[in-house]
Amino acid sequence: MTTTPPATTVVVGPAAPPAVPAAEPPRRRTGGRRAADHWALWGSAAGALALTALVFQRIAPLSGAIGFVVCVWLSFLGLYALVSREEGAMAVRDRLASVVVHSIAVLLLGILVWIVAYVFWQGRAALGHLNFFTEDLSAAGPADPLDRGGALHAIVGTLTQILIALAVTIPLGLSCAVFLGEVPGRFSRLVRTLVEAMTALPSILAGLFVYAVMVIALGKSKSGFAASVALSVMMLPILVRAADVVLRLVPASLKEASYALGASRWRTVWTVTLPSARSGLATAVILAAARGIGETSPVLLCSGYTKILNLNPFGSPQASLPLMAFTLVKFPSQLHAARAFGAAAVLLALVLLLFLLARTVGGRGPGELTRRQQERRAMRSMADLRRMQQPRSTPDQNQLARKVPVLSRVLARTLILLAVLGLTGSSLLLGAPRAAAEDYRRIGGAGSTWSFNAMDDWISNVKQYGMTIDFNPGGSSFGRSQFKNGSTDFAVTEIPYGLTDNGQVDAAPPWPMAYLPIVAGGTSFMYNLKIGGNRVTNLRLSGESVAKIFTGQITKWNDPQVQAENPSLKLPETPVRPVVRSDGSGTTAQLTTWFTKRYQKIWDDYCTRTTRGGPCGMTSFYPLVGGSSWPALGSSDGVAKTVANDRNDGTITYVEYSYALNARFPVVKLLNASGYYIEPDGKNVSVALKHVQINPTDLTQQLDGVYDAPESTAYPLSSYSYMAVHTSAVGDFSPEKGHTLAAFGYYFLCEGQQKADKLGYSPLTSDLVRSGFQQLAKIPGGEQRGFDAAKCNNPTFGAGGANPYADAAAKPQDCDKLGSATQCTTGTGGNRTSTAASKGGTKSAATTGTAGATGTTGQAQGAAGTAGGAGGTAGGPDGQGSAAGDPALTGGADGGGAGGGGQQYAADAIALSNASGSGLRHTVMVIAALLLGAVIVLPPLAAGRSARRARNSGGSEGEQR
Amino acid sequence: MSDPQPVSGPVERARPLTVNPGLADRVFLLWARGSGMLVLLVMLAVGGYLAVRSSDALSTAGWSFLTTEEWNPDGGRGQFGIAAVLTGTVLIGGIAVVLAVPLALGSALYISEYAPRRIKRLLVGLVDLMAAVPSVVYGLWGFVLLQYELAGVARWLATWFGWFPPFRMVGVDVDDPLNPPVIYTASSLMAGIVVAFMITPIMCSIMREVFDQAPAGEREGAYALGSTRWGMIRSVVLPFGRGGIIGGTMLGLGRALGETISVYLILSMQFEIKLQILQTGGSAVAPMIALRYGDSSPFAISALMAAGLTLFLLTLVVNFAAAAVVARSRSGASS
Repeated sequence: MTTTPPATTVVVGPAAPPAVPAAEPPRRRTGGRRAADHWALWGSAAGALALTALVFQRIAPLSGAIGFVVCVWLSFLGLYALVSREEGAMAVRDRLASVVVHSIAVLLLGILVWIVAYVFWQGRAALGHLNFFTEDLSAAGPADPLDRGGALHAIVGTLTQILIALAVTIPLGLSCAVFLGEVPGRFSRLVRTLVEAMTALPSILAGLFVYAVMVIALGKSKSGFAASVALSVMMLPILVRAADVVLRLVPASLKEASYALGASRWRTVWTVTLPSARSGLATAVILAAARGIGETSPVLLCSGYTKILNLNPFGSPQASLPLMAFTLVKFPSQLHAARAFGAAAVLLALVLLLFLLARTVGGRGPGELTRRQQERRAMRSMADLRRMQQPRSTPDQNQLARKVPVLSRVLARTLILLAVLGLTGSSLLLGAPRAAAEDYRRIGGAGSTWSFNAMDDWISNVKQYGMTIDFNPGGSSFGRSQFKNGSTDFAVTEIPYGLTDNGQVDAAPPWPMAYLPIVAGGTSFMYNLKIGGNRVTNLRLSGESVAKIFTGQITKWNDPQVQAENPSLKLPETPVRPVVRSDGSGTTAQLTTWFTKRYQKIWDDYCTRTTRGGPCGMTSFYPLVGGSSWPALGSSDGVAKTVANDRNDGTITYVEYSYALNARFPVVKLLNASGYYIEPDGKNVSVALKHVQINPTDLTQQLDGVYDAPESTAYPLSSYSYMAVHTSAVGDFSPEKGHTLAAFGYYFLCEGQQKADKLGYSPLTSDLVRSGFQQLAKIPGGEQRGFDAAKCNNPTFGAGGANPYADAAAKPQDCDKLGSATQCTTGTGGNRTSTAASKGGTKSAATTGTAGATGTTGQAQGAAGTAGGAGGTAGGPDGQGSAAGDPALTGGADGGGAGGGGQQYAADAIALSNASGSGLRHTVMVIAALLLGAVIVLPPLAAGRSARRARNSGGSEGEQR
Repeated sequence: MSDPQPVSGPVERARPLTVNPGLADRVFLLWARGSGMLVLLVMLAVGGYLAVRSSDALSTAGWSFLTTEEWNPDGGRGQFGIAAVLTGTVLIGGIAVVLAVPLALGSALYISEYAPRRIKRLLVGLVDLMAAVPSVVYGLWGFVLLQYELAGVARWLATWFGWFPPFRMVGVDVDDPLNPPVIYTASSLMAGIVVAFMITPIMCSIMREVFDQAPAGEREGAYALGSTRWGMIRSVVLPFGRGGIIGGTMLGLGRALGETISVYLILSMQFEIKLQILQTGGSAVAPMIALRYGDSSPFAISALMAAGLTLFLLTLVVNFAAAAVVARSRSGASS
């Protein structure tokens, strides 16, 4: 429809005066590029590359690929414009526009390729294992290798949900589209307007609607079916609108021809309108399906994530691919991140498949036929011809012959549809009993991420007994709220109902319930701090320092108070970046309870400065100061992942100890009442929890004694996590479910506790386990099992009420004592590499001297040298390696020789190098760049100008004007 | 419909033009009307339910719903409002559109004007495919990779253009080289960039469709008058496609405003009006619902619905305006 525009940038001049007819003039080339065009293009590109490389490499110590590319591009634009000047202003504009448009297209294409390639690349490790497609994640935790567990549950969930959603939307959506096209009038205009309005509905609102209606108002539990309903609500307007557009494109002449032949309306719709728009309708359906398949938020709200395969979409949570990717990517574990990308890659492949399908079936206009359809039509005409040439039969038969094909086709299609639906349904029904093997019912819970790592492990383990337990780690507040509105069978929480948070009492649910302690653990402070490029693993802090860090009073790691507690570390000036939770969290509640009880003034002062505007006491929602730039994330995984990102130097957060173990990161050694810095190892937690006061009626905890536990091995910030369970059959919670829940409870109170220590938790003591057994007996349908210490094999069960587990806690070393001259170098948490002392006592400092002062970059060399000599006892060989410093600044050669180098450190060196006259250096840099640019640009300019002048005076062939 | 009667002779009389649909047609009409009614009911049920439920929260909060920044509906003192989240949503949508418009415009122009004929169909397919990539994939990519890759750019902007209010960093010494990149991540800018990549293909395909319809005669006329290709584009294609550009942009904006999951992954939620786009923390309506739906009491859910309804009204207005502009431009009224 358009002529090919000339592909050249040459300005085509007006036609030459009519030539002499005799000799045919050579055809002028209107396309193609001249050699000069190529020279200008590639020459400018090369010039730009060289210029930028020079600026980056030689003149200014700049770095960064993005900056490089942008500089190359800009200088290319500049050079190209300059070089093209001789062609005239119009040509310059044309060329620049062409370059800009081309680069944008390349950029967009590059981003698409980058995204797709990145997802597949990151997911390659998971996709490479066949089990990724044949297993669910029930047997695999965050730390399990990729040859265990897969995405089957998510794949099945996605397919089930989209099939149900399509089963709802296709008939309804297409009928509605037919209605809009065939029955015009005021009513259909109203429907059309409304449908168009609903295409603007954000998918999360569709999810929220179904969540509020089905889960909260109707009291159904979250399920894949609810998710499909939400997806249908979202997809319906999209499908109706697309189908309506397609149907409107069917030529009226086709329909009129049908009517003229005497066909009724439904006949016309069935045999003319729909078949001729088939290709467009299929595209509309497929694209709506592609949209629905990738939606995360409706599934997040209405179904919730579970790691266990669920073939039954009615009744319990069912994962989907986008939800799995969304959930797993927040874990700090690399393995789970790989699984998340694997799920995203499968999802992407699915969308790609749908898309290719849409391209194959679609793309034809209404009435346009495929070759097969054309052949079939030709055959039918031949048959008609034969039939007409045969002797005329009786009218009855004729009518019958005319009707049968249509009827039989309708019948056949209906049968096929029914058969497909039946097969799907029966497979679902067949699958359902298998999922709930033995006499256990599938139960679901939600809540704390603090104790999630233990919970997750237990859920994997009880799978072998036929118990299927879904657990949605959304935070303690989430768990309590979901339990209260009846959408889960149990909740896991650190704090009980009935506490006042921000002026609001979190009322207990109206039905009888009980608390059951599930595991103990220490709330730890996981941090990411480097000295001279090496990770610090032995940081020690007092409770007060922690409180000041999390209230913004301590803003630099070399704050005198922190420095005083860490005599062997030369702490850098790195800013302290607390990372907090943004959701309602039991971990936050534990931390703020401790702050309120022990550091009330610091905490109240902070709260007054926040948006709360007054003391907040215990709260599950961490308050933030207005304008604060502290990262706030939605779960324990989220905060742990942020801190565990190698680049986030200077961050610190509060999570359960197990997260630090899984992320292989160190935790703070916290000062206890007896003056020792202790890490939250399971045994130390167990020691501190000897002083917990358990409320005998509901088993809730009173932690004042724990904060002040007098033992030298006690970790002060220790606590229990609880499960809230029904003690009567209410709503969805049947005695059958109770039976499963009780069996699960007996498992984790006994056998489950054995692994607690390894997972980063601390096992429950015998009296709590005994009380837990009594609580389990209250669950309706629960098996009555007597407590028998011998059968439990719990490491804390000793003879005569002793706790051999706690007693085995290693006595703290002298280097962990408050006020010790040096501190222990051994690592903590998940990172056991020891940290060399970076700050020696006075002796090692005295041996330094000459070496540090030799070079101009003395401070930097010091970093390499110091570690060796510093620190007294344990420095040694470790120190050499660990204090290698920033290679760019250390400058190798002369620094290595000095065994007892200077007192300065790489961290200081960076600060100094930046502080010293950045203004002057940058000015020089800019001037140099300008000079260089002038050197490169001016000669061609001058040449071009002189050439033009020569041409103008010479009056040669005027191709350029 | 009518029985074939042997007619003895040609009898001329006016045929009655009454429509007498047979049983099948009556069923068909009933079925069509019924499905239309059902869809209408479903849509009304969604909208109506949201409106009715949110009235609970709205009546409690009153006008302060529009001016309060905090989001604490369970606090019992009516301390919740959408001032912060709605501003954040619009901010992120604005960033996304500002970044996406040049990208979409450039690639649409490339596909319709510059691309060789052979690869044009492929490119159209690729852009449509990019529009079909699920938002969680963009979210993953932005969350794991992009925001750290671009933290350096954000630092550079903060260092050199800190005098520009949106690029200011509050409470941070931007010259401190020890700042971790985390202070430049999880910001409105990062969320906006990821959303921009998500809406670019949507905008691009609408713009390209309209550009393709620029009349060939006018194009050739421009060339015949000695115009360069860019001259032709400026004088023919862009004026003709103005409606498509505006409409496509607004449609993209509507999509950006309602985006949930990728913003949820990237943004660190803070309930305050925060115009510093480089700094960690921001707010938006849709991610707030995803973050808070679970730990909300029924009243808080009603408050969330009120916020969601406001967002819906916003996207509704944007989408209808876009549809009107696009429809006008497709019919050629704006050329």
